[in-house]
Amino acid sequence: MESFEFSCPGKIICGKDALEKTPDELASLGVTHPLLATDAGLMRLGVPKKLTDVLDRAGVTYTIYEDIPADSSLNVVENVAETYRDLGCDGFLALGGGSVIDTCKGAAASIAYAGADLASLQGSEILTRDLPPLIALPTTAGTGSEVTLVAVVKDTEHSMKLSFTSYKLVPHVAILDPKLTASLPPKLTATTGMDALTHAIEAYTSIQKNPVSDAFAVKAIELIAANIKQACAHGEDADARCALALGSLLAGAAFSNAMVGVVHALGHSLGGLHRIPHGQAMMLLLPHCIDFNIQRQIHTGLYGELLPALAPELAATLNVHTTSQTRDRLFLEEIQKLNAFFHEIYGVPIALSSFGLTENDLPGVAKQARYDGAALYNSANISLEDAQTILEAAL
Amino acid sequence: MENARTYETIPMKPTPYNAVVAHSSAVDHPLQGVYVSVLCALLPTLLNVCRHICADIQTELDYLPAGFTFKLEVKGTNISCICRKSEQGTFHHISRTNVATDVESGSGIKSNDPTKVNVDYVICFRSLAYAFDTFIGNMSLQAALASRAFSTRGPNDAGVALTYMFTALLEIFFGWRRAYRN
Repeated sequence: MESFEFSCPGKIICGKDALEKTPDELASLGVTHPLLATDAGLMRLGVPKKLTDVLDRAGVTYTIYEDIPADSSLNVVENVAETYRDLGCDGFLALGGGSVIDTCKGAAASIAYAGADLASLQGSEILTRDLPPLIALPTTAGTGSEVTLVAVVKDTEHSMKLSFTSYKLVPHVAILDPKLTASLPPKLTATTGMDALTHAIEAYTSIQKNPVSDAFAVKAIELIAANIKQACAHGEDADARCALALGSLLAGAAFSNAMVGVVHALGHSLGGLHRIPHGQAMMLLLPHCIDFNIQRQIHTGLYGELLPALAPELAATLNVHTTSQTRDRLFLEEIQKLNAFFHEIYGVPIALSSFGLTENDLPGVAKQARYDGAALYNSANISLEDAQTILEAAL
Repeated sequence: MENARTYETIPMKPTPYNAVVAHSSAVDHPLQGVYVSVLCALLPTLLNVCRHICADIQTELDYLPAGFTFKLEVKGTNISCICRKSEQGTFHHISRTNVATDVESGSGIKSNDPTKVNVDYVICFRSLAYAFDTFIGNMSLQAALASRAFSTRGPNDAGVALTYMFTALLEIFFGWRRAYRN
């Protein structure tokens, strides 16, 4: 067995009314005045009120920071950290999607390393100091940021996404309450769900995969595949929402320990250079990256191993004589069908051209993708030509 | 260091899935230190020569800007090498005494001392055993990355370029070894 490392240190609280446990968790972390970070969109929808009602009943003092954008940046991180310091807060409640949670991670790091240029903390396992308490309450399913050791923040000056990797960045507590994702529109449910699916698939095929991350990835795919359509069609279905959120968390834990691959390398570049939302980029790139890998005989058999999790009924019809290549192909077809479904029913774009990209934009994306850290975790190197080929297919 | 001792006392068998790791049960053989030290001393020369026979090395050299400086070190030892890219596109050694000490290496923060060199990127092998295994081809650089045999600090894109460059260099000498043939 290959040597590996796996860490999922955060506490996970999942299920109906999980929010009710927030005051207890704050108390156990010694937090008396949390900064509740969220975004304006959620404020308009009234989602944070579900949490603030709980805090008010428990007599918890809190301050709300509601201006975190969808694509957070270093400037926003510093702003949040400054607010935290100025108001004498002693912990974070990150209520939102990946951007909100990553912003709080970055702000927590900024506070722990007061005076340091946050961009200088890029790299793996640079952060060694304990960060202020951070409770993550995801409202998407999702980035999995509530359990990952990664924070991704945009450097707007250089149009690049900065990655920070450290076990210290894992939130102390992750609270998954179906109430928090109930109002997520179908289109966002689809794209964030496919983002989570991509995490699980890439974690399973990464060079850093291990038995523990594999177990998390497989279960994540099972939960996501079984619940994503139901959650899109019937957002009020608490069981489907909860299962999807848990699948996203498990996928996050998987890739946090096994890393990702070419889909994320390309997706980071599309996000950094052309502001394509992360989930959206994952969704439209996933089948083309799988297709590319299959054609080049990269990760042969691994996709097929995931077929029972993704499409159990189809997998049950196969027999021992079905080759691994066939299983890989069937897996790809199921992913393509998912994309086609969401495109047809909910109008989710599944081509780069839908975002205004042309062939002229592709070389720049390909170059940045080749030099994205995630590219190293694909078992075969992705050349500029390879990246270009995938992007052309996705155009 | 604890990880290194545990790693060394568990005999590892080669597997077809990932690169081979075969350790002796001896702890930190002194010759390992000599070997790694020599390789570190030769590193810029090897890069400067091999770029003429390996296009991949030249490609990554071209990606890195003039003045780019990386430091390769081995935790638990005093082995390190610091290399800087010249305007002519070659790497040369930088003495430790010429490196800025008022800022952390790999932090991206510029030193206040204009006479000193800022280290842009740091690669730190977690133990001599990991470094030795990587530099002698027992373990591919990809496997070293996968098993977290080293930590890094600095801009991601530079780290990726260095990984591609060192992989190409190691393949020239150890491409025949099982770790590189799976």
